[in-house]
Amino acid sequence: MTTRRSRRPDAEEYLRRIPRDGGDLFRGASAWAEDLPGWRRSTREQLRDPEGPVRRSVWNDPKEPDARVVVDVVECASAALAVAALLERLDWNQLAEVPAGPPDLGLASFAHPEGVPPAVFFARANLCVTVASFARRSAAVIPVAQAVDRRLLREPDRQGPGLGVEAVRDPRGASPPQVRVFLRYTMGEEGHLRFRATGGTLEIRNDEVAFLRAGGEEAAVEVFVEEAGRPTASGRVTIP
Amino acid sequence: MQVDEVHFNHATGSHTGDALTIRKGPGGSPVQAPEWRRGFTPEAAAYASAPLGATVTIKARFSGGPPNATRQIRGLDAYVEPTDPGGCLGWLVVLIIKLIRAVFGNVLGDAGAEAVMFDATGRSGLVTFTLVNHKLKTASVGIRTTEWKWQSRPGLGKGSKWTTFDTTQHRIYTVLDTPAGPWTQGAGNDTQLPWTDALDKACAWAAGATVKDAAAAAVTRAVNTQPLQSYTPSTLFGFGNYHLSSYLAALNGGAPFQLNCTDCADAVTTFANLVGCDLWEGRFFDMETRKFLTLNGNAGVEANWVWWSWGYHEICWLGAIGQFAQVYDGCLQLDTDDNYGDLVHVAQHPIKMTFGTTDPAHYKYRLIKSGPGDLENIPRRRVVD
Repeated sequence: MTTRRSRRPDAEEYLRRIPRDGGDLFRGASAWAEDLPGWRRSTREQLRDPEGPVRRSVWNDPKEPDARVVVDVVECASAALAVAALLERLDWNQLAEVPAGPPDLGLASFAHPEGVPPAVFFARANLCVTVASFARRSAAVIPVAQAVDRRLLREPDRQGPGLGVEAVRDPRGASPPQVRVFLRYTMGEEGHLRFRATGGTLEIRNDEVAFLRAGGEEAAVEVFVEEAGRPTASGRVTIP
Repeated sequence: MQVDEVHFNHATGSHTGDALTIRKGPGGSPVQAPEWRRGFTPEAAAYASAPLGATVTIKARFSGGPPNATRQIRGLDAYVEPTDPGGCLGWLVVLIIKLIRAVFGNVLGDAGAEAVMFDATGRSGLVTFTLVNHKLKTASVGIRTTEWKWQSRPGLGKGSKWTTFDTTQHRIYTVLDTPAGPWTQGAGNDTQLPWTDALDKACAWAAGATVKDAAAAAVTRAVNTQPLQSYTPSTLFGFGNYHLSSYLAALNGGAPFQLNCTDCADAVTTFANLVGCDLWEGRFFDMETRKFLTLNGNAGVEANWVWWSWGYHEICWLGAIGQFAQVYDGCLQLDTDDNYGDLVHVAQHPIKMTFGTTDPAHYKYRLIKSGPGDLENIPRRRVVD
């Protein structure tokens, strides 16, 4: 009897790449139509993994009925847990070894080799993303993954309407401050919240966004409501 | 007079004398008695054969009865036997109809006569009826329809004639035993109650099975041969939870999709256990396989006979994981032809095979060409979502 497969990547190497004094955290992120130009979304599902909610979308190539792509976006509680989720995906991949993906994709990425139904896996911020060919005809998944990643990295627009954001301190000081957002409308299917921390990192704790100070003087969180076809609303709060 | 309600799962804490507690799906809600209610879309009911006791009951409520009076009421199978048109062809037609009835027809028998009291407004209370002539204890796995004609008569005397006053129709799932994990018979809004969406598939795949081995075998074959699927090494329907709702959507979506061994093991375990089997999932590690027939492959096409270098493979286990335990694998078909150097292949679904050793009758010998294939002793039944 054994308890694990023989070949596993080194988690520490990827965890060292996570910034300690800033970074983004997403809530509600999924694949957008702009990530797969010309493809049609056939399915949108919200599933549940132990690491967090999974937003799954399946896309069809209108020109080729036997070409489909599935995009799973797992919303983890932190960037470190997104890396753990990425490695967990590799552990549940039957290939004896999943090679590294494109070097500029995500904080870390892995991709199926040539000759195998295409799939690519990467972690960015608190998200673990899988883009996999989903039908017998192989679909190019790396351009889709790169498009998703570019969008997650895109500098948010600060020219749009304002957004109410507040930091709530635990009066007992036992837990880190929480960042709360006051949305005046319901986001559409392709909408998410982007929290951007300065002077610390962000984690989801008890379904709230918590700020963990890195030790510097300046600590703030910007929040952006990003949605295809709608101006980005944004707000900022200084963490006391 | 009319029937207002029929209750099948009227004692939610048990299923030894009534129906199982089920739900529509993860996003739906538990099916509440009355499953049949006048003016509403009827809900299905499910029965597990093994735990049923000697007496199985339903409950029903009526209105439009005689004020402050009692009537005898019963529910009879509304099916009318066709008259034999005579001749060989006629005999054959009648035989076919009887066979179809045996698989899809009334399994509930009749609702035995009871005295029903009506109040001043002509309404009754909830009355318990014992099912008579039912076949729930011996029924095979299936989805059946019962149509009852409800009859009443004023008294018990010989001159008192039965008159039909209403008919009701009921969709009934029959499974062999109480659904095993991940399925539960919990209370409240438990998402692990058997889903009707999943019962539709499981009862169709294992239809006609009267023993658990046959049901597990049928489900394994069905998972392996779904027409729109193909293999990928990535787990796409969940390794923490089993994304059964997503798998059902893929099956019903009419478009191609891909899955791997874990997804197949999830499907076999989850659907087989839903009809009363007792399977677990478990992995073994590090192997180069012999050629096998890929998922949903055509045995006559050489390109469908493939081999892989796998870090792990996950299959279903009957009971504990162990070298001499029995296994089911819905992800592939083994080549049982002894000459692995030629292009002759004999496809065999791995159904209740001994995991084993180097014995050619064993699963491990037929699957693994080289590598340890070490067992991971972690039996799993993944929570469905």
